[in-house]
Amino acid sequence: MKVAVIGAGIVGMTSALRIMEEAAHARRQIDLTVISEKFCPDNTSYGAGGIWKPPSQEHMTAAELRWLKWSFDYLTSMLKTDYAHELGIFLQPGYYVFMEHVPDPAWKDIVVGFRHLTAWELNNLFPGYKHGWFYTAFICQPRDFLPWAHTKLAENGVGFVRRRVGSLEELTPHYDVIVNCTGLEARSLVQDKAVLPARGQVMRVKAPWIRYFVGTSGPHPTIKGDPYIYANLHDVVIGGIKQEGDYRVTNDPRDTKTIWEGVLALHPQLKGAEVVEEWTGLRPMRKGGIRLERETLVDSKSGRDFEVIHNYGHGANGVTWSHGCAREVAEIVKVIMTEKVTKSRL
Amino acid sequence: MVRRVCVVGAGVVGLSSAVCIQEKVPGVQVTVLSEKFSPHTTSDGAAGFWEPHILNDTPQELIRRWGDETWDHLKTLYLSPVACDAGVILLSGYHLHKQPQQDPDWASTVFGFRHLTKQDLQQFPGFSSGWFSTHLLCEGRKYLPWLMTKFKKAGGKVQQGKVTSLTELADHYDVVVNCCGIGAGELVGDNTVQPVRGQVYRVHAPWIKCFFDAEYDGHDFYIFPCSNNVVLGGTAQKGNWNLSPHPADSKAIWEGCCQLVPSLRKCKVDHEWVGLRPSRPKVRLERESVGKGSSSLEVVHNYGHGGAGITLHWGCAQQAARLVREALSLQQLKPKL
Repeated sequence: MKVAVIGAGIVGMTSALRIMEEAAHARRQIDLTVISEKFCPDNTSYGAGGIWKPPSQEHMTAAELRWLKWSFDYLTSMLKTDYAHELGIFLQPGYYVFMEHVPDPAWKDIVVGFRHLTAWELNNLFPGYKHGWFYTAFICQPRDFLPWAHTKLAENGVGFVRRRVGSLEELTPHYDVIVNCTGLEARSLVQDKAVLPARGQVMRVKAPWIRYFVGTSGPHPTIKGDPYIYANLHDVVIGGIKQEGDYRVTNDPRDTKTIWEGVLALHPQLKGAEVVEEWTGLRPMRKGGIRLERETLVDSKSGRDFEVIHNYGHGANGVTWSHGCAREVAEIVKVIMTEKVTKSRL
Repeated sequence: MVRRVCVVGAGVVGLSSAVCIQEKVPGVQVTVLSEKFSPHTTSDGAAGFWEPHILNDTPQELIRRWGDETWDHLKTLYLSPVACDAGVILLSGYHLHKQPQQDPDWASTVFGFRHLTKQDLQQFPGFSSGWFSTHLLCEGRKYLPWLMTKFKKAGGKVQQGKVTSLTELADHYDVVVNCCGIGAGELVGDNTVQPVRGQVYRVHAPWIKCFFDAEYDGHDFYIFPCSNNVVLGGTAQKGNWNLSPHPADSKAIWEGCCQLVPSLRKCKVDHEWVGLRPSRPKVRLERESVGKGSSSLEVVHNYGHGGAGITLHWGCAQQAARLVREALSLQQLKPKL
């Protein structure tokens, strides 16, 4: 069975990895190709810090919670190896603070050691904020994980093609299953008007003594916006920019200023920290949430059926969802494979 | 008239005492006199983790008072722009035990102290209980130079030299503050001061974002990420004066830490270091009048902090400054003949 994964960001590559692993495990023949216009370091995933943090909402669907649990479990299993850190995977404790008493998130039992911040911590560490969470979660740095994934896939015979796919029908003569992991580009590829960008700008600074994350949800009396800080392996990511509908991919000095104002008000000790990188990316948001579903379409030329598995719209949390969604995609591929075998036996 | 105070010793206890005296005692000229300075003091090699440790019979109320005052001081530094320069870090992590232990006295001082759950313990096969807490860490390597800058800016003087007896300072100083740590035993003939030898590795392992401290069968293996490297330890050998790393200790520390966190096997070792914790049955923080007549001298002793130099330093320094003030008032009543 010939499978094409379109998109080589964290969502596409994890999908490809999982499909490959499941096929090998089931000793099934799968011809897998990853097709993408962009590869690391030119994609959105490259600049992301890789923090495991789903949206803060209290209620999530059963499917969403399943993907989150699978994702966390995958990262936990990677920790048992002795090379997890080479892939940019490690645990990090941290804080999320709010201006009001928000309900606990749906995923509070998935992360490690979730608790509320004590009044003492709020008053002393985050004065002005009214409520907060403390928990330990993962970082999975795409800039380390994706090159490793690429090598692993290539070693296992997966093909890579660098090209822009204009329409799904370009691929239908050559592939039985197409996995659509095109992120923001899904808007044009499959005419999904619910997809839109949320521009983010971040800086990476040298501050190796910071080993935790801090996320905020304003509006705080003196701290502007929603600044955030979290540690990567060799630097600390600082940010706080989320501009919906903004397609600019260049750094904006006004946003640099906004980030510094927010972050220094939150964490004065970062004053003077050396900036090693500044980067802008477009989060692939989707109104209505992630689209992860199978669609059977008919090729207009040949009249043949072809299978599409959509896996896009992961918003600000690609890294968070990716491993779990990849597993779901692989399950769907397994089902398709079984159907094909059954069909061919008739 | 300017009164002259000499602080002997330039570790964390000496420098913080010198700074506190400048801040709290009016009309004094303070000199720090020491054989060794940063980066060659015991304080420089220590991880600097805030936790009362190896304090023997020092009264709990004093540990509490000095420890909490130091905690507040570190917290103020942490929340300020100077946190990085002063080497103050916020760090969460795990204490691991093979049998349930009573909650420590410092549980209510640190942030978010809680017991480990079954989910936490899955990461640590072989350990059945423990704690998760968030502490402050103050790295000597950065803190001492920061204190020294502060001290000099406020007009403090510095002198390098070894003092063989306190009374030799009587001609030049009105009060001497004895912060000699492990050297205090020799200086004042106090043979209750004993080294508790600590050996550590400093390694590069930037993926370690928590501390780990596992105590079992008389061992204490610990992993403390600091400003830009990670400390792996340790040993606590009473009465051992040997300042060179010992291969058997290196091996034990390495195996103990790698068993706790297997990914450490892939880390890069920077160097090994040995420090002698200045242990005493109790911390000695008190006034004493020594010598007679023209060689009489008011002394404030501030030594014997064991494994808790950084943990108690500021509270003790404040007390030392109060004692210096007392000593100076006393002197005014009985001038030197």
